[in-house]
Amino acid sequence: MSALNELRALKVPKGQKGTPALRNKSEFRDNKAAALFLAPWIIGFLAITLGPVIVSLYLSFTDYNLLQNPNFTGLENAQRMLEDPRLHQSLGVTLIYVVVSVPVQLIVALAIAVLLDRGLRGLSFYRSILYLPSLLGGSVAIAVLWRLVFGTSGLVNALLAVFGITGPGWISSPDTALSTLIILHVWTFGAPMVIFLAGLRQIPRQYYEAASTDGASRLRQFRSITLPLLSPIIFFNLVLGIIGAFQSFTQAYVVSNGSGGPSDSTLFITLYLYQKGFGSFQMGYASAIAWLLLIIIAGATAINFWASKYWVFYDD
Amino acid sequence: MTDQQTVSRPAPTHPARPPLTDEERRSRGAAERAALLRRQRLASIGKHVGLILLGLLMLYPVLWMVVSSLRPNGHIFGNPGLLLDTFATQNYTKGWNALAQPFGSYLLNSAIIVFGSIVGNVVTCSLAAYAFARLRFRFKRLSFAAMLVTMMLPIHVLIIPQYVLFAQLGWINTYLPLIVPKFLATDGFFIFLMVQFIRGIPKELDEAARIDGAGHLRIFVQLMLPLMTPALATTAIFTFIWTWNDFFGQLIYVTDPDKYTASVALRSFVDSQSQSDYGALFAMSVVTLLPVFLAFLFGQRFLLRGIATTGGK
Amino acid sequence: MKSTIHSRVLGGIAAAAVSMLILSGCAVGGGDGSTTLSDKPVTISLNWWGAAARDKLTRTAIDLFEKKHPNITVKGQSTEWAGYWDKLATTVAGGQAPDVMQFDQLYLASYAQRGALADLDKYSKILDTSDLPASIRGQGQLKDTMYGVPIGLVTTGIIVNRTMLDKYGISLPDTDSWTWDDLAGIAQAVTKASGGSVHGINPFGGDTPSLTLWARQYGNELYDKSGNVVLKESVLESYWQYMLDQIKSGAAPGASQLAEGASATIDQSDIATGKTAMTFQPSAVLTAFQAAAPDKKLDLLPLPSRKGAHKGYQYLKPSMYWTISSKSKHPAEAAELIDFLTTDPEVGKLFGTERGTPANPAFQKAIAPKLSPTDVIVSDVISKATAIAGDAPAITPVGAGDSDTILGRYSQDVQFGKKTPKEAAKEFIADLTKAVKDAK
Repeated sequence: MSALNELRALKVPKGQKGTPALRNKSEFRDNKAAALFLAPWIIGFLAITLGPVIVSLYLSFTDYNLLQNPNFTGLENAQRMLEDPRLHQSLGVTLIYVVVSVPVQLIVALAIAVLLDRGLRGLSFYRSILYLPSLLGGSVAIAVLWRLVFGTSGLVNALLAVFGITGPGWISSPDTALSTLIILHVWTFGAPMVIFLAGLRQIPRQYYEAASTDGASRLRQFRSITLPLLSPIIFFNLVLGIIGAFQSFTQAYVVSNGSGGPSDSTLFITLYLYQKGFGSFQMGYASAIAWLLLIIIAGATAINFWASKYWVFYDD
Repeated sequence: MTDQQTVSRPAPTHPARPPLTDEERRSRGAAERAALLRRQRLASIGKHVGLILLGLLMLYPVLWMVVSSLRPNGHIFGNPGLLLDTFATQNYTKGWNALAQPFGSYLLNSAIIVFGSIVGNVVTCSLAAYAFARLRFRFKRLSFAAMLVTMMLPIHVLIIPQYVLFAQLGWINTYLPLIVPKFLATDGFFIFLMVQFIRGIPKELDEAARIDGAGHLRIFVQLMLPLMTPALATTAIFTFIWTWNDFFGQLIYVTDPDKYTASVALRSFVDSQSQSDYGALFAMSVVTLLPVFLAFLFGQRFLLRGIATTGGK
Repeated sequence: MKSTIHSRVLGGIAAAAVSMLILSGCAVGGGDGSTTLSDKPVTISLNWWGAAARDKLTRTAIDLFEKKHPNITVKGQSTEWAGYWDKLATTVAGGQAPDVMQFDQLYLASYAQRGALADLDKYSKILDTSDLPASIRGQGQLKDTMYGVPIGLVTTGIIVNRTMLDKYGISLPDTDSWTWDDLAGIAQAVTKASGGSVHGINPFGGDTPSLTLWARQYGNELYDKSGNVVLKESVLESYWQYMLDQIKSGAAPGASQLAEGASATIDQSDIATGKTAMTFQPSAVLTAFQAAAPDKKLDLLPLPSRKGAHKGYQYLKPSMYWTISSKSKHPAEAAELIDFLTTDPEVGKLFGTERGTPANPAFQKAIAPKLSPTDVIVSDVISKATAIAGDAPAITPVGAGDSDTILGRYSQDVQFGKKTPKEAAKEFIADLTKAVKDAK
């Protein structure tokens, strides 16, 4: 118990955090140490990351077609984005996907992580099984299977037929294709589940035992111990989940064979810019769409960070 | 929202009651314990039933893939069932030898990239995360924002400038474009992940160490790293899985077929424009899945080592 | 002070990054290689798309070539279709194009007109294409310059499941002179005879080859020789109307099942799984379909025509080409390799029909005695088409590389009833015209 007892012994009343000696030092007291710790990141950022990002920004103002030198065209791409109905369609599809699939996946992942956290026999077995779908990624085999399951004469419809319901072709009907992709996304809840599990492990058990002796119900324990202490991890999964969902590509690509069909109902924005960049050689326009996407994601992330002040609890 | 009150005043701020010791727990009343046990057992059975049902749902595609790999070509499609009436292992022997090299050499190539990526990500991302989470320095918010923003651009518009960059360095047809960036902490996902974990570790621990005169490097190595084991394990496992499954980068940068990775080699079995060998594809998909599954099975043990366990030693 | 240095550094990096990209882009177009073969050791690269079977054959051919040319080393690389084009675009943009590339008609003009492909006439002493019929050879040219050597030939036909027709006792008329009405009648009969459990046909609607043939029966074309869109709205409307009629009459399955089929692999296609009796396909894939449906007897029929159809509407389309990168350092050796792959008798026998019925007539003769039953069917259809073929259509112009994707999308809109054939025809032609104009 040494570390925790140490922790407790050290706890100082709020408002007197840190010794005066530490507090008086400059706001940037760690500049040198930070340079050391961040050295790989700084080199990587300047040498590998920044260049391509700037190039793509530049290209978004050009007519770059992959094979010839780009010509600067000013705001022509922006103008075009305003009038491009397929871009608007793809924005709509992506927004619905993000708004529905991210929260649902996170709730499922959190619920199962809490269930799996402790006190269950065969825990590691369940964890591995539940993670399996996430291991498969964009495998060709999954695309094939998905059609067997959600096709017109697939498993799901065979099951529905037992109840006398004639199901649609889930992935081939414009009305249900996107929902099917959302189910596929929720189904791969393994990654956030694992992160939740790792986060749950950081919560000292003693808190629960103390609460238990106080007579707090499970639900109350979850609300007043698990949720606040896990909030930095929930926040992480939410931010990265949103960034990831906005950039979803593989699933739609694999299921619709890159078309975003039927009738553009699964045309994610990344799929659209891929079609434009690599299919029609309009890399300048594709870069412009990518930067529009960046602005949208950055906006969503900024809102997230702002809102986090009200619900994310840090112990610092 | 009244909930906010309870949420923003979390449990750790009232550590009035000291945690129970093992002796105290043992001395609880026997009757109380029996009732508790019964209730726990019922709940546990319920949990197991639910998990097994869920597990089957999750397991089905993988089982189907394994079963399909044992079906002869032409019997794979239109058969979503899991019952096997033939046991055809020829898909495995055929798939293993169908390409220019035995499939094992592609697995080895993947393993080299995966190993390099794990070492790189674990070391450099944890260093950067410590700086972002614990140090005070100039441009901290700016650089953190910059790190996040670079994750928001889709790969498809970055790949060509990146390719040009690596081509100028003469790195095409080597694994360097796939490994070196990991040693330069370019994976913001893991930095952010570890920042969140470090921020969950009570700051009093390292402030105490600082008062004892420990430098940041010592705090990082001796105090933080052991406490961060779950986050490091998560980073290692995810790096393994994502690098192993990555296709686009490996496709673009590796040109010599002998240097192909498993995920690139897998696609050689299927081509939408010509005759494909699905039996071999499924067989080698299973072979490719196996190492990741084992890595996960093994690696997840380290997810369990958090404060809760290290504190108990 | 510090921050100005900071921004100057950033600005410098930005400038360097942009100029880096532009520099590499500049390099596209300047072929400086020699037009004669060298005696010194030379290494060239050869890229193609395809699955494992093609991989093995091509590697054997490379070994044969290296044996004959001990100073030339060939590095072969194969990728599946979608990955191939992504990788090609990236490597060409990055100035690292392979020396010899397998090409498709859809992208030939896009790369050629933008200076990425070498003018093959410069190497005519090494690379002999005189054996090819003029109409085939012409489809490797853009504005009278040769950029690609056609490898194989295809024509769009109808794959039919004979086993199913026999089961329902439906017989075919003389398919050398059958009409669209005949086809519709047979398709309806299949659906009726099966009680609706299977359908007669998967109609066309989303592939430019079938549209090209339909248009040519009306004396119309998709593009003229200078690469302008000349397709008539009324022609495209009738094409989609025919498709829609098939769905409405029950001869074809509903929109949803068709959409499923559009993105399915050959092995999961309705023909292979026995859900329909007929489908429109390029002739070369018959072998792959037959392999995916071993328990069915498949046959290939020529496309029907209409009464008073324009004579010479038929044509043969190169299934793929060999091209040389304009940046190749060893174009002469690359040309020598293509020459070997397209004229050496040993290669002809080795390749057989794996890349489609060979374009080289000498190859066709050489493999004739050893053809498999499906190959015999295909070569029959090809030779009949050759007999009635007219002038070749102009190749897909720059900017229309994704015309199949756009056509497929509008076709789905029509199937799902989101647009009438007339509306879709108008919009498709406007879209395509704009795409071609923008790319010029």
